[in-house]
Amino acid sequence: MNEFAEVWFANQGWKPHHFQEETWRKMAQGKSGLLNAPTGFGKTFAIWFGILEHYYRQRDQKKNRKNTLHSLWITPLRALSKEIHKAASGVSDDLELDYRVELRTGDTSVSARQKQRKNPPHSLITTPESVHLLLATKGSTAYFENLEFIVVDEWHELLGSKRGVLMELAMSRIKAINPKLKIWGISATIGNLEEAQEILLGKNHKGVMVKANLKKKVEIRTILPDNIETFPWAGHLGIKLLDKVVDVVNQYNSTLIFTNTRSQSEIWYQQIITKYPEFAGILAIHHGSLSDEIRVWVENALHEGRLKAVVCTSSLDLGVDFRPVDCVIQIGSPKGVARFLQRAGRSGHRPDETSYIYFVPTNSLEIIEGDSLKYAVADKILEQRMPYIRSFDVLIQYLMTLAVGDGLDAQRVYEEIKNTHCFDSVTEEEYYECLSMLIHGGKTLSAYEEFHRLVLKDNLYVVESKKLAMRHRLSIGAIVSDVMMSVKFLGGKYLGSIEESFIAKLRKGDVFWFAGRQLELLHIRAMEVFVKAAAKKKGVVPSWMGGRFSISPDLGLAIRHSFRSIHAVRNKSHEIKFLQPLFNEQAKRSVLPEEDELLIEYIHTRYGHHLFIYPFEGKLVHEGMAQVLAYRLGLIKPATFSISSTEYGFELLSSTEYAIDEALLNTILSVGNLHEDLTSGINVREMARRRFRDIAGIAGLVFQGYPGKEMKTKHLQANAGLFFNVFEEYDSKNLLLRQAYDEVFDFQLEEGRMQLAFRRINDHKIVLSFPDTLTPFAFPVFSESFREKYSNEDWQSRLETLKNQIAAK
Amino acid sequence: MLNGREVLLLPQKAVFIPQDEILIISDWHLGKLAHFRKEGLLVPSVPVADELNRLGELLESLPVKKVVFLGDLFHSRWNTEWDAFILYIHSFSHIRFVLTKGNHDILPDEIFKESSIQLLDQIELEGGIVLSHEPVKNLSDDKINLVGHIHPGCMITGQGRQQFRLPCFHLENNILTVPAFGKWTGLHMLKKTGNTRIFAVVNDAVLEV
Repeated sequence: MNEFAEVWFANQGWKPHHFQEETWRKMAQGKSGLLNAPTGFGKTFAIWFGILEHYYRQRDQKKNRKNTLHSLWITPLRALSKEIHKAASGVSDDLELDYRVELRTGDTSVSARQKQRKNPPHSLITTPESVHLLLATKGSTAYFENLEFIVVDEWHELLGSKRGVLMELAMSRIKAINPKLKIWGISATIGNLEEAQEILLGKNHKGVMVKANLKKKVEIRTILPDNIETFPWAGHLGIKLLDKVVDVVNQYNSTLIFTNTRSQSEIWYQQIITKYPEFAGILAIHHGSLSDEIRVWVENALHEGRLKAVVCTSSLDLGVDFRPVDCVIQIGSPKGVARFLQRAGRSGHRPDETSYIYFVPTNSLEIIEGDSLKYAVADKILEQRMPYIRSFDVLIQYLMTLAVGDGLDAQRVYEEIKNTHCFDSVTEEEYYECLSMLIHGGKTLSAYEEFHRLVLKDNLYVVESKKLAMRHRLSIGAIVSDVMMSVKFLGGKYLGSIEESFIAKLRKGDVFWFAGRQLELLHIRAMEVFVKAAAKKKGVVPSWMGGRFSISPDLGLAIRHSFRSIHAVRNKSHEIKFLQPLFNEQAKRSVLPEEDELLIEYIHTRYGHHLFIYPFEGKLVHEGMAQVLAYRLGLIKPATFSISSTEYGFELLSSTEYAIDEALLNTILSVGNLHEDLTSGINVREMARRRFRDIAGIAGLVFQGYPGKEMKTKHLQANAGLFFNVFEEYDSKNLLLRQAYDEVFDFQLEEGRMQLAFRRINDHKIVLSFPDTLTPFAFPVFSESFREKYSNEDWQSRLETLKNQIAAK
Repeated sequence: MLNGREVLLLPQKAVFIPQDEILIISDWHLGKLAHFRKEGLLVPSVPVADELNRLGELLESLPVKKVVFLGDLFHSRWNTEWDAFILYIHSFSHIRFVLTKGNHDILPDEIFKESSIQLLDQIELEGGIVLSHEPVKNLSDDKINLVGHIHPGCMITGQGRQQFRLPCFHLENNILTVPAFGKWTGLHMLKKTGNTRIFAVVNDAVLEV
């Protein structure tokens, strides 16, 4: 039993959960492991007391009292780091222990960081990026020499991203520095928990898995419009249901209103305040681009129960516990079952309470997701987190990090990374090609006399240029962001940051909405935008890049299940019954497909010829299918297509008309040559090009600039598209370029699932219809604003077509 | 036709004035990739000859006596690509080369003196055509100013919801902005307003949109 925990829990009047005791036991045995527990049950304490117990037991055995770093606690979010710090240092205070806990994040001041280096605390609460920053300083090996524990909090969040790769690499290095290192992960329940454990602890690990097995009650309700007839067929905003949302907010103490994007949250905030002025002062907004000051204020006000509601984004998804919150509203599709449940769990945080979550559809067909979410939660459908493999961009960054730090022992580090899941399959040749990019700027054989990045000294690669080392430290991380400009009041108060591309569209005197305020643009100086509160009523809302994710395959599965129940006679859910008039309209204008039928609509409008197909396979698979079909149609007659896809179906729009009949459809939907046809699609290049943007940023190809020192680096600014073009033309075998293509096939096209989808469709009966106008099924696909392009006409001949079109005008 | 002078907008992203036999090239940004490499950014090395030949083809196909670089000829500090460039233009001994200095042209004056390139702030041709990198302030209305600097581009929508980002020539009042000649340069997107005319470079033609 853990003495510290016993005393502390008794003082609090709490009784430990079984999983906490189990974790303390395993940690006392010196094991590594993965703890699977939901938030709100004290998972932090389960690990923390294990660490404390180890520290004091070990200290009693050893006489050496020199201060060294004993544990590292890594979280994906700064807000969460603060929370953990509060809890952990609270324990030290309560029990009057000398175990010192400190925070180290991007916010930590330079002087505090230096102190942490010279006189390390016992424990650092930090982020993956900060660990790499520590590795990028001289003396890092000695710093980690006596590190006993690494705890990775919310491991499921990091796992499916390149930040997870950062963690794998950091752990491989620190394990090599100190083989006694013990690793503990904390993860919510995901579809591939075993795999998550193996990636965290390494191949052939001897670690344990502790499962909390606690049930949490979740109540899901869909907010429906008064009638389906006046509810829009397309859209993502959901403002139509504003009044009903406010009704729900009024029924509860404190509500979190989750939106999917930052601009959507700004719009919702603005609309509620405009229509219900009584919310002024008790409604707040929270998203990732707002200043820390604003966010901390909102978080504190939530804790203290001073807010009726907060409009927020995924910035409030994780960890932090707001006791007064007793209701959650999700505007629009949550895009994933796990995310939906995570958000639901933000309400009714205590173990015995029920979580209430309301789903607000933003267009009529989306109502069906209310049915799907209930089904998915009841059936315990949970997403897997797919880990990245062979991320050469992160590897290159890491090698540079080590060279900036204590120097890079090339062969030794190769052995270390070979043991990670991500780089398990990397060959020695590929590894040295990455290294060679850093040493010579490319393959060794070419002449690159001007390039100096790494220098070999005493068998270690080091970075000699102070400028390069500094630039590298500034760009460590696996999140690539656009150039951001700070928004400030004249008095200097900092509100947050907006992408430069948005500001570039504004002129002096223009009004825009940001941080829930109406602001007038006064002037721009370097990277700062000065504003004042505006009196004018109308304003634009900034849009931020990124944050556009598609629905997870598992939610897609649940949606297909819902669509299957359209034709069911009994046991229809409330949502499905409500949608009946829409389905009747679909049947009237075109056809409502049965379960084993594939509906295809060919419609002519002033935009051109639209081919709509509804396989209900999920957006990702649809994108790939659309590419294949576009390619196959292009073989029949050369054409250029604009492609749009949703969870339900996809559209191929072209100015070229095809004689669509069943024979032609059978040809283009056949299973044969699928892989060849997919890879021949020119658009893979476009997709790879988009992927390359992040890869170039992470690998250090594109330099984002020193913060606040924009002018001096102007001559180094270029977008990743330019690099992509140069590589394609002059170094087409480059590993980073290949990585961009691999990521497209693994993460975007999901070839395996597509094969299955084509096979499934082949068993279906094709129902072809030629409606006069767009149908309820077609409309949401048609109005999707984000469209892909596909063409088998080359760029030259497409331009020729355009030329003729302009000339004809 | 500007101020009674024929001004040809070429699809090679350059301007030719037949009466004066002047070729105008703007924002070439030579040496950009080499500069990146020198600063430690990983870019494959690209033969500079590929870029130089693009100028060569123009000089061979047109009766050019004088080439005016409308600023931002060289991307940044000196690197070997400058020497390659100077060597290359020496092979056109019958042509004079002039540069109206741009914000990127930070090479010291001595380097220009050693070369055969004449350095000027702006040039005025007959017919009131003024050449400069950025628009000349307080220019009288009867003059026409040819400038570069912003790398103008435009978005054109074709049928079937296709969109094209294309370099363009941009005429607003008496200012004609010339697209960037360099291959590795970006575009600054401009929108058409009431008193502007936009001439997009579409393949091998320049078309008004």
